[in-house]
Amino acid sequence: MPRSKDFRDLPSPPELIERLSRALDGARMGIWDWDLRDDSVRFDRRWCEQLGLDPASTPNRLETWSSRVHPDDLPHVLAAVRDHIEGRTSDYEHVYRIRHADGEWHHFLDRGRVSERDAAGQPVRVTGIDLDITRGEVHLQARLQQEQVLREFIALVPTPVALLDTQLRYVAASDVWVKALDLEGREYLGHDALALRPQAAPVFRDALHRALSGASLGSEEQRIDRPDGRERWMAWSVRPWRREGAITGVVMAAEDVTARVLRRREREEEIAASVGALALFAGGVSHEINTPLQALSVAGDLLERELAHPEPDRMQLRELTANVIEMTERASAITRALRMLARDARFDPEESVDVAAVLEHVEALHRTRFESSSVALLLINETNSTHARAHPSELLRMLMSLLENAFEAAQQRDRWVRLHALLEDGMIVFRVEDGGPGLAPEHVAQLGHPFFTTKPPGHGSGLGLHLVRTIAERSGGSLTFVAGAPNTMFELRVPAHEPACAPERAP
Amino acid sequence: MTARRRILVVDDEPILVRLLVRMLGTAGHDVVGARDGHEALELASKDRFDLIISDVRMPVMDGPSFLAALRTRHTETPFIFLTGYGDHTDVELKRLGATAVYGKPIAPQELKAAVDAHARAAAT
Repeated sequence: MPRSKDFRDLPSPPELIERLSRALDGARMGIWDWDLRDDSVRFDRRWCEQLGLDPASTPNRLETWSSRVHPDDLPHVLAAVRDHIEGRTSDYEHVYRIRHADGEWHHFLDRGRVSERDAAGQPVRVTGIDLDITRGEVHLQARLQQEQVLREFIALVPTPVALLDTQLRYVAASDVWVKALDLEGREYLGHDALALRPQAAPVFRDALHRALSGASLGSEEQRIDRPDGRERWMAWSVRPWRREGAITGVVMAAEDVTARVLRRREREEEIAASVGALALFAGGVSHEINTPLQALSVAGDLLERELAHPEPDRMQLRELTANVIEMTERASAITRALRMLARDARFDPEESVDVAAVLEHVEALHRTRFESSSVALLLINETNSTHARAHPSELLRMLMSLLENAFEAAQQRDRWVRLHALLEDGMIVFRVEDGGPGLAPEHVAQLGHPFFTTKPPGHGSGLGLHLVRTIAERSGGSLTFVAGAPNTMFELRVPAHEPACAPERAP
Repeated sequence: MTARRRILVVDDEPILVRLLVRMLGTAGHDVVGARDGHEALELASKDRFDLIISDVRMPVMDGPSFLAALRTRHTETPFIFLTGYGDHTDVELKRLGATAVYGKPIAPQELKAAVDAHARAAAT
């Protein structure tokens, strides 16, 4: 029978007491024995030592204990004891804080049971042990608190970051991350991050696993297109999360930088476009200036020869002089236009701009090139001397962009371009039309989109119209494509300068 | 005294054509002007020139087209380009059959020297 075997194996009573005593010491346990009849309590030596009390001078009274229990905890402890004494629980167990002699709060796990009853069956003694769990409890509390603080801190981080454990389950994530990944209102803590976001899994699975083996990876700009094919760029980094030397997960940061990348690309294209346009323009301008210069140099040679003659031919001299004056004026008109064009728009203040002067500059810069390509350039000014309010260089550049497009189009069919300036509702309208083949309906919708172009690769980045529109809108104007017009027609609107606005003629 | 040559000057700037015709005329040459490639091609098909001096960009027919048309007719007339642009390289223009390419503005003395250097030796 097992019972007799157990009984036979029991050590002798003194040995048992010795063993129990050592066990209690090692387990940091104390014993108490409460007489309900007079509320006397016998606390053993270990109980007293746990609280830094001298066993010899510790009163054997219930108050010794109750006066040290944390006031917040005492009612709960007493209730638990009462529940047991009154027979509602089979034993008593409670965790509470109790003040050590040095003033620190210790955590006690208390366990007890009625150990003696009177003849009527009423409990008269309760005996129990307590266990000082302070160290573990404090650690646990501190850890929980730390983790809570950490979680709250991570939630507040203004960039998208997440902390995953070794199973790639969420430990914490910033609010921004939660929002960006559509995890709001979803259970994600403790859940597989890749399963929650299957579309990102192919990109990040490998990186996350490599981070778990100690690698730090990332990309400043990685193209990860949306399922709908729209271009999308991510900046991301993944690195191991180490705790006391061991990898306990990964820290991941990822940010959608599409807007930034597109903005930068737009700027780069803008620069490339302006550099390209500048090269083209410089070639054009050098031609415009080189032809008058060539004429001037030949005229100089002829004048010299004529004047070396004993009797110069006055008719010849007059004609050559007239040529010199005309060619000089031609070149000067170009350099005047260049001076306006060369002003840096960033520092070029908005001012009242004479539309007639702008049109003159436009003509000076384009005339020869249009003529030498047999494209007629018609300039009509019906603004009644009203000035525009604009940055002069920007206005000139916008018109040149529109004319350049029109010039290209006109070469494909009827070789003419018309620039018509007029006044409408307090705005100066520059209407640019060309005799080109017109725009296909499917292209009209895309007009003005950055990078849209109907030109073959290498011929224009498509930024022209987009830039013109951006600049126009920035200055309170607009750029519109006039659909349904007999020819390709764009209207650039620029605010008219107020004082000269809507000139009323006296009746 | 340099030999007298028959020269065709082509440019869409009439003042420049007039001045060049006069300058090369005073240098002792027989010079005819044209305002575009088309007009020049007609003149060249009717007449025999010792040298053609042409602009590159012109309305109706530009310089390269004119030169190409000329060469398909097996006309080996020496051909000088005077260009104000940088958009055709010298190599390109020479591949089309140009004898020489000069940028505008060229100094009058240099142009006269170029004429002497490149014009076909007088047939007589």
